[in-house]
Amino acid sequence: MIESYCLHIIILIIIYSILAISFNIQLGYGKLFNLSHVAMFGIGAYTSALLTVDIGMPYIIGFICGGLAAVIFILLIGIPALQLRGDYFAIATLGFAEIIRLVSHNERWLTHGQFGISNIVRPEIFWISFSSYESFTVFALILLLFTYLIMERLIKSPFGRVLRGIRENETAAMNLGKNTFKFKLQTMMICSFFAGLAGSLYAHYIQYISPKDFGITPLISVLIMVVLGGMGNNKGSILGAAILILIPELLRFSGMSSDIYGPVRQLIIGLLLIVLIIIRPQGLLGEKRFIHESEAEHNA
Amino acid sequence: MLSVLNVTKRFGGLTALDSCTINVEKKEICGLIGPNGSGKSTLFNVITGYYPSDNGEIIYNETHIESMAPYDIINMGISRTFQLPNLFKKMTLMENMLIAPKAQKGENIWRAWFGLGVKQQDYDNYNKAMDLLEFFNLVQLRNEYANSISFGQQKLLELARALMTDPEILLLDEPTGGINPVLVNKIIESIKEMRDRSITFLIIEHNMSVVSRLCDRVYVLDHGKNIAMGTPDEVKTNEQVIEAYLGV
Repeated sequence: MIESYCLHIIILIIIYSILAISFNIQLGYGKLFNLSHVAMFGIGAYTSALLTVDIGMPYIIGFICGGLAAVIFILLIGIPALQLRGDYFAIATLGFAEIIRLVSHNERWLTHGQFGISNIVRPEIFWISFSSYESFTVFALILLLFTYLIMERLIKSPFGRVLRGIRENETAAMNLGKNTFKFKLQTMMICSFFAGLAGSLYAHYIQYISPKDFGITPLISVLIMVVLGGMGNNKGSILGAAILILIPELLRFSGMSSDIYGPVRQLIIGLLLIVLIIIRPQGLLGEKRFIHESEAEHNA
Repeated sequence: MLSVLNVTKRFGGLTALDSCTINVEKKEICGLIGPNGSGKSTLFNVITGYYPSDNGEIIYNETHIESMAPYDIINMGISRTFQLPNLFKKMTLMENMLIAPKAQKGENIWRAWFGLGVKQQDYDNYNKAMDLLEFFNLVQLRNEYANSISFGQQKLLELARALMTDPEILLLDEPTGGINPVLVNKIIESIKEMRDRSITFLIIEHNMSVVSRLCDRVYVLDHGKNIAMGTPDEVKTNEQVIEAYLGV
């Protein structure tokens, strides 16, 4: 019992780590305040759940379509929203995210409305079932590792260098002949794909989803995960996700009555964020300086 | 090589460029002078597509570029620097240099992931960047952040970065502003040397002794209009130019 509880926590940390890493690529490396990121998580979850529950597709189809659906939606959102800069971009993406949430809340024929979708099956790929805690943990861990490696490789590549350049000075990047719009849109597409996959993972793990799982509150949580761990550091995003999931779980054992449990949790997270911003504004880990890999040879 | 024909640019009621016409020949070092606010930097911004012009034509190597996107114009072989350096501040000098090369294979996400030819090209760019940093005395600072070096060094870094794009024509906005005299001489020599390697220059400069030593021809702007053109010595004695500068 205690074992499956621990695995439950680990699985949640893994799913939110994937979401936080893909948010960090946009926010930390690209300064793209894409506040529709959790909505893309929701798109992935809904697509995957609806395809498997309502149409009876196999899990693997739902999983991949979850990612692809998020990419399609971010194209629709990103092309107009990227005409705006900074705060305006953030507000526009938040607006789109709210539209998606309201549609999932009200269009009962498609999304089952506010009651959400229940009886979502645990993943089964070909003949391998991932219904036990142990096997699901392995499955989620593989996806996290894949996400981490692919994102690290992207950031260290010339593509990632240009993305960070756009973050530092978009005018300069444009004056070096970089199509900054294309770089930003591609980044959002990649990140949304992984948010969609994480959404599918979430839906098939919890086995029940409703519109409130993808609203403002989880968006704030993911934002705090990234800021806490340090923007521009993927390991930091994993650390941030772990801390933010563990705090409420640890509070459960404090013997606090349930009516003050919720407020205390928010108090602690808020306090943590304030202290962090004052004493360590770059976050727990922060961005590392990039040294070119030829340096090792050069010094030798 | 680069022709600006009757270009006009207005900002509200202010006419920054008033049917301005200049013509830069291949392998020339062309100067652009004029009092503050005469529209020199605006002309650069219009050429590189940062501001759309209201009127007129810009022709580069027989191609109309006046309505092209900035990155397309840059990729045709025009490169520029700014009066106040536009650097990637929280990135190292080396990274500043390595963003610049055009058409990098690793800028394609699939190639970046699968590593097709990315490493070799990046290694070549690294060596090229090392040579340029060495030339501008910045090589020891290559792993420092760009915002931690002095203003003069930042200007040099921006010039070095512009050279990383292999430009055919370089638009330099006050390349010697804020740089010590020894280095100014070095910059003048290097510009002449690059011209011999067939790079064309259009240079905004306030320091007349630099202009005299460097430029083949000079255009003088005042209130967005051409008021004179000629060799540096010719324009120095031109009455209209003296009037514009001294306000007599």
